Amino acid sequence: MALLQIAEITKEFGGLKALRAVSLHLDEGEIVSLIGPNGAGKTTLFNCITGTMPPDRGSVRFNGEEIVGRPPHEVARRGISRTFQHIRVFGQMSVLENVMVGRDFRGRTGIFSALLRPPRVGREEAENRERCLEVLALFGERLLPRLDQPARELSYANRRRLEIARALVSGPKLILLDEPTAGMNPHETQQVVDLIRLICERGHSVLVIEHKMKVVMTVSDRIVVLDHGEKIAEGTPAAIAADPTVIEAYMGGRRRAQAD
Amino acid sequence: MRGLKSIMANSPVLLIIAAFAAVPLFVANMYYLQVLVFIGIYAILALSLNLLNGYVGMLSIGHAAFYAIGAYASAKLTIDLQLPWVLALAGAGAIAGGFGYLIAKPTLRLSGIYMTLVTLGFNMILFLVLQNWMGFTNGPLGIMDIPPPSIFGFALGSRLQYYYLILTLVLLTVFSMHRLMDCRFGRALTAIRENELAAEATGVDTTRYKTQAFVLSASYAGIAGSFYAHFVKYISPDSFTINESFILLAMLAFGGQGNLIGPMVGAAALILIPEIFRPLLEYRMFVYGGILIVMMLVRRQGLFGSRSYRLRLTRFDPSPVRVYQRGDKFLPEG
Amino acid sequence: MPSFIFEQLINGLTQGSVYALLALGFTLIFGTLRMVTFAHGEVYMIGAYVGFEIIRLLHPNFLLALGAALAATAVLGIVVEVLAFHFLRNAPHATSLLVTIGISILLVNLAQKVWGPETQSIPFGLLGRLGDFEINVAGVYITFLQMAVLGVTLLLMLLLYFVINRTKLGMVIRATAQDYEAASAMGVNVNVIYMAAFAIGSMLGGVAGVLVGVYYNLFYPTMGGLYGLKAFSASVVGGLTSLPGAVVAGLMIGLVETFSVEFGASNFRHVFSFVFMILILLLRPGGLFGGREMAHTRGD
Repeated sequence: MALLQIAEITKEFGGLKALRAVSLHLDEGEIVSLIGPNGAGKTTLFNCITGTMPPDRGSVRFNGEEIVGRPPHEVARRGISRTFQHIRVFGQMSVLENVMVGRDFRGRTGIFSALLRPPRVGREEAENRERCLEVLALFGERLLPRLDQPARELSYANRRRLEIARALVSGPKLILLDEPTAGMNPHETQQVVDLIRLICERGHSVLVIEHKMKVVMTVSDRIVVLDHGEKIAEGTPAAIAADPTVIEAYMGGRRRAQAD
Repeated sequence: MRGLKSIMANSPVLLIIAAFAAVPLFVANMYYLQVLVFIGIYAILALSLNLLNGYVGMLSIGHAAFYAIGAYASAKLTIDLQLPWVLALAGAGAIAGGFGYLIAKPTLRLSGIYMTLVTLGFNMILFLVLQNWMGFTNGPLGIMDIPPPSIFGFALGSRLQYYYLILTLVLLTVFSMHRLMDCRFGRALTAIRENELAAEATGVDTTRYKTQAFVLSASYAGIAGSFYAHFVKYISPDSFTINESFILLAMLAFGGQGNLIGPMVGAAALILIPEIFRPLLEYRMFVYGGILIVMMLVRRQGLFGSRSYRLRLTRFDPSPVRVYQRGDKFLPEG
Repeated sequence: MPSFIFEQLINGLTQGSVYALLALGFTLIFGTLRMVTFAHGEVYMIGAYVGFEIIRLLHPNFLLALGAALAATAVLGIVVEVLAFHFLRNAPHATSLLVTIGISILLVNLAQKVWGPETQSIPFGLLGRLGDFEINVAGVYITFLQMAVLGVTLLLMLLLYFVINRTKLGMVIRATAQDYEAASAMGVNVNVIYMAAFAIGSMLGGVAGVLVGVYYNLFYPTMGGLYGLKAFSASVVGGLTSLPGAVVAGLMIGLVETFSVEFGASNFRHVFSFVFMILILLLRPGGLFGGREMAHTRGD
C-alpha cells in the first residue's frame, strides 16, 4: 500500500482551476519530485495535502487514512511535515527554539505541568533538546554554532536549512520540501541533494518541489510533472527527460515567457 | 552543590526581590507606598495583557473587562456569599478565566482585526451592563464596603501589609508566567506570533493554545481585579472603562512586550511619570495618549520589546552552556 | 397605528441617520486603507465643538457652522492619516490602530482642557426659534431640527454616492481600495487618495457632530466615545466595506435603540449595537449584506 495516495484532487480559485483531478502516489522510502512551470499548481498541491488549503474535490489518503478536511496541525501529527517556498521561520526565536517547536506535538507538558514542573517535564525537555541537536548535526556546522542566535539573523540558506530541521525533528513519515534549494549556490545545492538522500536513508519519504533540473534528475526515484494544474507526465528521471510532452510544457513555457 | 549553584545563577533576581521587600524601610510616606501598590496592580494587568498582545500577537483592546469581572466577582463573593478572601481571589481568577473562555472560543477563528473588535465590543457591553444592572452591580453607584483581604483569619489593615501582599502577587505572576513561557507552552505561543501558518503546519494546535492563552490572560487580570476591589474597598463601573484598557495598551507600548520585563517597566513608568512630575498629574491622559503615538512612530517595539530577556529563574540543562566556534567538530554522543 | 409609533419612527431614524453618517466615515476609511480608526468619534466631537463655537461666538447660522466643522474635520482627518498611517504604511496593522487610540485619548483631553469637562449648550434663543418649530403631518409632529438632521444626512449620502460612483475622484478611490499597488502603477498618487478618503470620512463625522450637537443641544468632551463606537459597530454590521450596508445598519441601530426605550429596556439601549456587532462578527463576518470575502482567508 502506498504511503500517500492522492486521488482526483481539484482546487479552484474563483474560477481559475489551480489543480484539475490530480492523482499521484508515493511509496514508503521513495523520493518523488514534483516539477512544472511556475503556476502549475505545485505549491497548491502541497497546501491541499497539509490541510492549509483544503481541496474542493478529491481525496488524500495517508497510511490508508483520509486526511482531507483535517486541520494542518492534525495532518502534521499524523506524520507529514513541510517547508515553505517563502521561508517561514520564527524570526525572533533562537535556532534551537525554532527546532523545538517542531517537537511541540510530541510533548505532553501542559499548563499545569509547566507550572508545577514535575520531573518528567525536565526529562521531556532534555530529550527534546537532545533530538534537536541530533537533527541539527545533520547540517554539519551550519546551524549548530548558531543555536542561540535569533532565526532572523541567519543567512538565507541557513534559514532554509532551519526549516528543514524543524520539519525533520518531529520524525515525520513524509516530508514535503518546497524548493529547498531556491537561492542557493551550486555548492550549497549539492549539500541539499546529499541531505535529501540522507533524510531518505533515515527513513523519511520525501516529496520535493524543485526547479533545478540537475537536483531533480539526481535525487528522485520518480518525477511527477504538473502543468496548468494537470498531471502531464510521471516516471523515472530518464523517462521524463525523454518525454516530448514535458519538453513541450517546459520549452513552450519558456517561449511564452520570452515573448512577454 | 547544585542547589547553591542555581541560587547563584538566580542571584540577580533574588537581589531585586530583596530590594523590593526592603523598600518600605526607606519609604515612610504612606502615599508613596500606595503608589507602589498601584504599580503592582498595573504590573499584573500589563503582564496579563502581554500574554495575548506580546506573546501570541493577538491584539486585545478590551482587557479592562476581565479586570472588572475579577473585581466584581471578588466583591460579590466576599459580601454576598461571605467567602474568605483567598477563595474569592481564586474564584475571581476562575470566573474571569471562564468569561475569557466564552469570548475566546467563538472569536479565535476570526482573523486579526475582527477578533480585536470583539474584545472591544465585550468591554463596552460589560461596562454598560455594570452600569445598568442595578440589582446585581448597584449600577453607577458601585459596590461599597468591600471587606479587606483576610488570609486565614488575619485581616489586612495597613498599607504596608497591602504592599507585601501585592508584592507577593506580582512575584507569583512573574514566576508562574516565566514557568509557562520557558517551556513547550511559551514556545508554541511565540511561534504562533512569529508565523501562525508555519506553527500550524509544524503541528502546533494554534486554536487550542490561543484559547488557553486567552483564558490564562483573563484569569491573571481577574486576580488583579480582586486585589484592587479589596484594596480600594469600593468599585464602580467608572474604574473599568475602555480608557482603562487603553492605559494598559500604552503601558505595553512604552515598556515593550513579548517578554516579562517590558510590561512591568511600562506599568511602573506610566504610573510614576505623572506622580514624579506633579504638574503632569492633571495631564495624565495626555501623557498616555502621547506615549502611544510617539512610541508607535519612533520605537514600535517599546523600550524593552526587541528581544526576549532571560530571567534565568530555572535551568533545565545543568551542564555549562556550550560555545561552538567555526571549525569545531560537533557530534552528539550516542 | 397610533401616531406615537410614527413619532418614535422619526426619532429613531433621526438618531440612526447620525450613526449612519459616522458609520459611512468608518466604512470609507476602512474600505480604502484597510485600517480601523479609533479617533473617528473624537473627530466627530471636535466637529460638534467647532460648530458650537461658530454659532455661539460668530454668527448663529447653522450652515456656517456646518461649513466650519467640515473644514476643521477635514484637516483633522488628514492629520490622523499622516500620523497613524502615512508614516506607518509598512507597519503591522496594530501599530496604526494604537496610534489612532492615542490620538483619540489626546483629543478628548484636549477638549476637556479647552472647553471644560462639563456639558455645554448653545444659549437659549441663539438659533432663533428653529428648535420650537414643528410641522404636523397627519397628526404626527416632526420638529424642524429632525427634518434638518434627516435632510442633511440624506443630502450627504446622495452626495457621497455621487462622488464615489460618478466622479473621477470616486473612481480613483474605488480603484485604490481594490488594489493600491495596481492603482499606484497606473499613476494614481495613492498618498493623496488615502488623505482624501480620510478627509471625506472625517468630514462626514464632523457634520454628524454638528447635527447631533444642535439636535440635542448638548456638547461635552466625551460625546464622541460612545457614539463613535456605536457607529463603528454599525459599520461592522454593515460589512465594514459596504457603504449602503453602513447606512442600513446605522438606521437599524438607531431604530432599535429608540424602540427599546419605548418597550422599557431603556437601561440597556446602548448595549444593542455592540451585541449586534459581536453576533455579526461571529455569524457572518462579511456583514449583513456583504459576502464573506473579507472573512478569514489565508494562504501561502
